[in-house]
Amino acid sequence: MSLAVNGNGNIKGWYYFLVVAAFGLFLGGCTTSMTESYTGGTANQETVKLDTKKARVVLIPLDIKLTELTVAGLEEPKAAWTEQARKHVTDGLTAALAEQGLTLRPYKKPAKSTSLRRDEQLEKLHATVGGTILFHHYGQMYRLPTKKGEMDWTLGATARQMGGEQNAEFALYVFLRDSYATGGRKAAVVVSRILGGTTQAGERVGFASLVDLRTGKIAWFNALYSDSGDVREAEPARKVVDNLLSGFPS
Amino acid sequence: MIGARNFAPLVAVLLLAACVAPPPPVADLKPGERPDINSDEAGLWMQMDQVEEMLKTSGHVVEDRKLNDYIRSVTCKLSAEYCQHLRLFVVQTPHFNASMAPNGTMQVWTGTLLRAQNEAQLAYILGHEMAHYIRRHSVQKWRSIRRTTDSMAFMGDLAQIVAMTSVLAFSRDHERESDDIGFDLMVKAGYDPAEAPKTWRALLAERDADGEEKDKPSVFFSSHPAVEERVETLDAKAAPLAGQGIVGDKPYVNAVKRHRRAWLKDEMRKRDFAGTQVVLANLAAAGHPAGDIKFFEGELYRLRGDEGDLKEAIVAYRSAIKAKGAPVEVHRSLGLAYWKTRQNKLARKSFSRYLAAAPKAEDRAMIQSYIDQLK
Amino acid sequence: MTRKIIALTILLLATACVPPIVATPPQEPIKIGFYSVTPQIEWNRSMMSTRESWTIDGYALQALRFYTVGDGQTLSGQTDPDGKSPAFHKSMLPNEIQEFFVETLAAGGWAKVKPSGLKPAKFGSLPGFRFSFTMVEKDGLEYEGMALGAVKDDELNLILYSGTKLHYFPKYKPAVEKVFASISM
Repeated sequence: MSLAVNGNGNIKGWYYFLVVAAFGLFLGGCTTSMTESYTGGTANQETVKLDTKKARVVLIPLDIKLTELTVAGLEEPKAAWTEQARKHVTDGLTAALAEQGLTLRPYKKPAKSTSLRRDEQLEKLHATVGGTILFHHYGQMYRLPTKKGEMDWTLGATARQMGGEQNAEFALYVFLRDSYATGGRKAAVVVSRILGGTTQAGERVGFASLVDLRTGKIAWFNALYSDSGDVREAEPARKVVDNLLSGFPS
Repeated sequence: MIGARNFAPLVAVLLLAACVAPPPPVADLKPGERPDINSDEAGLWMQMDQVEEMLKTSGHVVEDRKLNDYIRSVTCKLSAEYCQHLRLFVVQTPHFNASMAPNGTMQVWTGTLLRAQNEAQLAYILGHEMAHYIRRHSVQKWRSIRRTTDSMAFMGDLAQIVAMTSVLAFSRDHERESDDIGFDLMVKAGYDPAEAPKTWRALLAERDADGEEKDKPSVFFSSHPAVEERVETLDAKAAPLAGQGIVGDKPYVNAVKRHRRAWLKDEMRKRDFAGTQVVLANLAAAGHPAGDIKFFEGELYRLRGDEGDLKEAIVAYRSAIKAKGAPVEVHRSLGLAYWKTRQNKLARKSFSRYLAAAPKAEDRAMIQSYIDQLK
Repeated sequence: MTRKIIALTILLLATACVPPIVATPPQEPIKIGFYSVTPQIEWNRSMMSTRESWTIDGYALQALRFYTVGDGQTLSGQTDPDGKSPAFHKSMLPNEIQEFFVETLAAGGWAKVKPSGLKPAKFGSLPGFRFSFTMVEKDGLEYEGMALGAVKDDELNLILYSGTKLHYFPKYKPAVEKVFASISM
């Protein structure tokens, strides 16, 4: 295994593969009864000062997709589920944070094309930073010694411009990928397990992060992995949201 | 984007290849029709909506307004009622392909635009893709793959291969259906039907250019009918109507000329030198400036770098300079080729010419240092 | 930390016995083939690759890599039997090496790779060249980079620094300039 892949510097795809593979390792060794979620929120205490009563936090539109696993393991994208989940997770986030006294603000799509492009670049950078945190921070093996274990990442000073236009001090980003097994798939899992295979029944991978738009710093980050739970219904979706928000600064 | 990455191969293989005709008849998609939110088709649409969102900001999309408007105008000539529901993306990749997603995301690859010689050929390709959309081939294919793979999960390897082959056979039927509909659309729009088979014939010439039978469809995973068969079918259909209608070589060459150099650079990167020679010959025949074509011929020899290739390159560069339309870089390339064949004096001259023609060249300091070394 | 992350750690640790990433002491020269460089600042240095690869914030965000490429090899140091991959040739002039580099990136899936400012530059005491470039990752994230290189004994030595245009590339550009200047033989 080499950190410097292919000589062309294109390490990102490989990165994600490893992150997912690392999560996959859990499943390989676990039974279907695994229900608990992996959450490991880490707050960078130096930078997070969030007065939930006053803080202006903009919710960036969720990056979310739900799929159904067919018997053979093909992932069929589900439009209706995704729409339900988007609603339930957004509602869940709003409600959970409201309980802490925080009112989330909706993201206003900029009219100016330069602003839109900048926000798109920030979102893409955020996805790469998120993958990096999963890999270099949660992946104990690949920790960067100069970070000394701290959650020390940023989107840079450009985030300030977005903060100005959105009139917000913080931005909350959520990424979620969720798959569910069909009845046939569940049967295949049982058969496969009996034969010693590792066929999967469905899984959920996600992360949430709070970016301080005054500095660009990732103020708080949390990752989630589980093979149970359901975001298609309001009540269980709220549980997923609570997991995702565990350790949220207040 | 973890999920997006995981899904990418699925999308590429199952949806974009959108090419299929199966047992339960599926009604044509009406202009502007959207599938029911609870259907599998809606899932495919959502998937492609997300892919489209990614595509919009991806680094590979060619954003040139004029080019996009031109291709869109040809699409609308084929069908005014459907074209408004299609969203076009010109994707910068040097291979011949175009694709249509179930939700109307249409990709046209620059390798296709480099190869088409006129508007009639472009119209045929666009008509073919439009047929996939109207006939809802993606959802038909998805259903047949799902049916087949569901049973495959319990099968062994050999059984899976057999099952897979039957799925892809549907694919070929869909391609044939799209060939038919695409042809009818272009003829109805007033284009010369004789241009339709030429598209495939040029591809055949390219494939067979170096004598090897590459790109020969593998036994199990060919999703397209044999090109020879398509040429025959189209020839037969076009024969009674040939020579009637618009060819449109001038407007086409005009629309793509600004991108020709960038696309040719991409084409060179494939290192399919014999195939690229065929592409260059076709470009010259289509009316692109000889100086430019000769320059790229020289680049092709210089990049290949086989025995005697540098000499060939020098010949090509020199005739590029004599002809019209060569880029100023021709002097730099000629200088490099002269230097490497130890013709230092000529090399120095060429480099000086390059700097005289491009005084603000971004590599000026480097070229000046070559000149100094050659003194 | 849940027990699952511990399980992961154990699984991953079982496959490797050396610490995979270590910090560089800022002023201690590091030998790379026939030359050495001084890191200037603390970098994270991957020990899992035969090639020197350094980063501060993570390899997808910014990286400093040191390549040594033999005649006929690809940038990653492999020989390509069918001639389908861009390869370095000892007769290449700096313009052609830049071309080879751009082709390698394009073949690796980078879009809109645009080099600029090719000029002569010292690689330690050797006559060499340098250039800058911009490129776009498949998903559309913009990157920048710069390279310093020289050919010695038919081998290409290339030091490459690249990172996201937003924040991560510019942040350590001055430090990398100092690394470039620190080459000694």
